[in-house]
Amino acid sequence: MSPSKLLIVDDDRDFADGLAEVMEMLGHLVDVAFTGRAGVEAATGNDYDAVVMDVGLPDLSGVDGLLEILEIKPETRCFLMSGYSAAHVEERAGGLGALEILTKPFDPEALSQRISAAAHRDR
Amino acid sequence: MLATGVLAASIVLQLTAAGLALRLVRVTGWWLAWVFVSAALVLMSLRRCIALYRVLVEDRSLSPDLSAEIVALCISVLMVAGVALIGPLFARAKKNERDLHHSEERLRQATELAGLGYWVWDVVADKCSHCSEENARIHGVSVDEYLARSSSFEEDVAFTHPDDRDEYRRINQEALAMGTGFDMEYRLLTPAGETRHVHELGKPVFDDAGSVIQFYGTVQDITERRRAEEEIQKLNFVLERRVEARTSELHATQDALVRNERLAALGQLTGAVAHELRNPLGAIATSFDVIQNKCEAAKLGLDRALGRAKRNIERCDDLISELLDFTRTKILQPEPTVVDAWLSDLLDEQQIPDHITLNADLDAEGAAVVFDREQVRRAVINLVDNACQAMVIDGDGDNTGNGSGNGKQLTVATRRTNGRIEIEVADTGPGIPEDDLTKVLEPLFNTKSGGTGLGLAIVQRIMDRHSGGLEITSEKHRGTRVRLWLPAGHGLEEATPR
Repeated sequence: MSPSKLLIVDDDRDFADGLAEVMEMLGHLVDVAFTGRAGVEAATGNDYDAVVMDVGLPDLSGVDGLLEILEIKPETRCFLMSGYSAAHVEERAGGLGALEILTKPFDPEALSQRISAAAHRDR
Repeated sequence: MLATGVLAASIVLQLTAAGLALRLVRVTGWWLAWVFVSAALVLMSLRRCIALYRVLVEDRSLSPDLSAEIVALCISVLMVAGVALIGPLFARAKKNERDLHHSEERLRQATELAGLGYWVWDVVADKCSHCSEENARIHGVSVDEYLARSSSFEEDVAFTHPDDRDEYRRINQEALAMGTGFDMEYRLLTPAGETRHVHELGKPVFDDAGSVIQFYGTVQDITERRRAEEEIQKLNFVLERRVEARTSELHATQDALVRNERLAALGQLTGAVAHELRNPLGAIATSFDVIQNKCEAAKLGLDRALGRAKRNIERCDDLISELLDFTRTKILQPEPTVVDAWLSDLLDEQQIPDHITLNADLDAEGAAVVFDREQVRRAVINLVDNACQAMVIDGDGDNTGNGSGNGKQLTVATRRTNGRIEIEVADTGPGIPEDDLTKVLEPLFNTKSGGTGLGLAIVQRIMDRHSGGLEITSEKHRGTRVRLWLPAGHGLEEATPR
């Protein structure tokens, strides 16, 4: 089973790097991007199994970014991260079913399992 | 003999009639008419006297004709009766005239008292047949002039203000046609050019056939009343505006009060939470130090992870400090300070990133202001840090400036103007979006990651406590300018800085 490819997009570099390292430790291939634009470019230019994007990036809202990615690469699993409560984020995401919501701080292990399980199912 | 007696009686009666006639002069005041009548009667009696004289003195045998004399006597009696009876008639007429005169005088006085003019319009002759003094006065002319100018309806209309003439004609014609009275307010334009508001009432007078032959009525000058009404309206309007303004002032004050209370409550909560967080953070920090130590010793290659952890523990600490700072209110320690010199030193100490050019434009002409140096220093440093951060984060992540080609400029300027000293910090970063401009001063409003969003709220608080203020202007892609100002009230003289 080939490891799943993951893209993490967050303007807080330490947070992104930290999460990336843990996910790598859990067996994923991880890339990081620190701006919304860079993240969207990377995601649309490559094939990622999952994209984890922060809801509030300085140049682009996480919701818009993920929707853009889904237009080009509809099979990508999209996770929206936020420090606010899930209810708050859902309000902003407008109940878009295609996006899954993660509230910080979340358990990387749990995320890893969600991603692997789906990948396994899809293949 | 009898005839002579009758003759004598006639003479007496005629003389009596003459006397009574003369009395009528006094009653009626016409002396000529009654003198003639009296003279006629005297002459008639004189003729009789001569006849009597002839009989008595000249020839006793000549006796007058009895029947003729009796007829003459009857005539004399009738004359006396006539003159006697006419007297009271004239007297009554005179009294009536006097009464009428009094009555008119009273009416005139009454209408003058009430400011009412009285007029009578002769419909048949189409002219004014009577005009009271007050009516003429209201029209700005004398009575004679008024009557002269009202010798037809159209002429009378000339007294009316041009804008009201159509309505004036209409109402008058309607009243005439319907045989009703009228009650109208309109404007007069006196020959002197003065505009007056009047209230006119009119009533028709009918002849036996039921057609209108006359109109009579009153006119009252209500200019003063109208003016007073307009004044009241104006005052009302002004009052309403004032009430509105005061109400919104009140609302604003209420809002400010609520906001302050909220801030105070927030402050307390934040302080408590921040304080509580210090302990666990402390435990993490110390434990981490041990971990870091052992990892480095064992060369486990965990540098990146260790670095991240350390940095972010410190970040937490800073955040907690900032929060606690915001909630605490230190007592101000104001000192007179020469602004330019102090600011210049401050900027020298600051570490500005290399890619940013610092322009110092200190133009406060050596003015000194009294303020807490530590607090205002924090405010200025906060602004400088914000500016520097704004010129690192660009929309597309590269450092080529904001598109205007000027590179990254940080300008710090001071100025003395309008009774205040201003310190301005301007950057050439991406600017603050208009929607956010109102929110940036709210505590915990944050658009950049890694910050509490308290910075500007703290700066505002510092300026408020100095009775100064803070103004932010920003233009998208051009940059942001934040101006701090302090009142230059006290201490504008050159003071030796400590």
